[in-house]
Amino acid sequence: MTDWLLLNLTTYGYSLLFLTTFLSCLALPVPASLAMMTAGAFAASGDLILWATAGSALGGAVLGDQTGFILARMGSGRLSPYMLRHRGRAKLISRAKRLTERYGGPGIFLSRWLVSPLGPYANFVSGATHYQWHRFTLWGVSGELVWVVIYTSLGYIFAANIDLVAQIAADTSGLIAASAITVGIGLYLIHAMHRHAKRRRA
Amino acid sequence: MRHLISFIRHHKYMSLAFVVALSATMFFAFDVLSDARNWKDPQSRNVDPQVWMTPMYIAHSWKVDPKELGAAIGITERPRKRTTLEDIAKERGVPVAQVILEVQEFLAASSTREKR
Repeated sequence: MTDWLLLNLTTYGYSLLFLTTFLSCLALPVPASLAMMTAGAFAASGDLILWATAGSALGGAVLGDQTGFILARMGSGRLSPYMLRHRGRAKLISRAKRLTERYGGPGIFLSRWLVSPLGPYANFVSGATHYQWHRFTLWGVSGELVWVVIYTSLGYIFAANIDLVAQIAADTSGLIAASAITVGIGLYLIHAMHRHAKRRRA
Repeated sequence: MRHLISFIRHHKYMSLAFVVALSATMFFAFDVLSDARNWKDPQSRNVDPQVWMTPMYIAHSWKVDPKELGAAIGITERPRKRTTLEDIAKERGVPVAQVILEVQEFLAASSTREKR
């Protein structure tokens, strides 16, 4: 997959980059950050044009976010009678809704670039909980802009040793996402531990 | 201790997920550290020629003249944009390994020239 992508990035250039970021925003396992970095490196060597590279990556990402959001919003309409019938499920939905209302904007922004593996799921949750579209779009586009600028400029600046930079970027992004999930589950467990202790005392 | 065991038993899946996430975090942290060590190694600063690279890109990485590199692998004009080593091998009707070898020979020759 990665080899195929690298080999065809020069041939299909901007349209392949567009497609890659588009699919990655729908939770498909495509190496979007590597594609952006390599395209950035090709921009440094003069094979591609920098602004067109960044533009097509951004276009694909924004369109992918919108697709995920809209699909989840349409799907939730069909699912909601089923989801609301059961009390546990209804509670879960209302909790997700409260969470997106409270942390939605910054959450969407950060899940574009800092914890980007979580991005597609944030789109689905925002769409399914009927988060306001204009707010989703505003935070989403700003976040994608940061994502695209970081990776294409990393590729552009460190073009000479793109292999190593790609490795470092992948490992760093994995480290950030894994630590975020660890902290999240940790907080949940601490919270549950307090409840558990209270119940035992009672 | 008994308290903890009973808690874990109550939250089996979340506790397991926590252990998995923590292991993944440590795994990535170790990788980042070893990457940082590689970064210091000046040998890793230039790319090894690979099929997907373009002559212009290799020339950029090794700071050599793209025209000279192109000539070494049978391109008489300035290398066209967005042509990979594989494309060049296909055009010439030779295996891509041969083109890569020619690139490596050119790079080796130009780095010894530089040292002198």
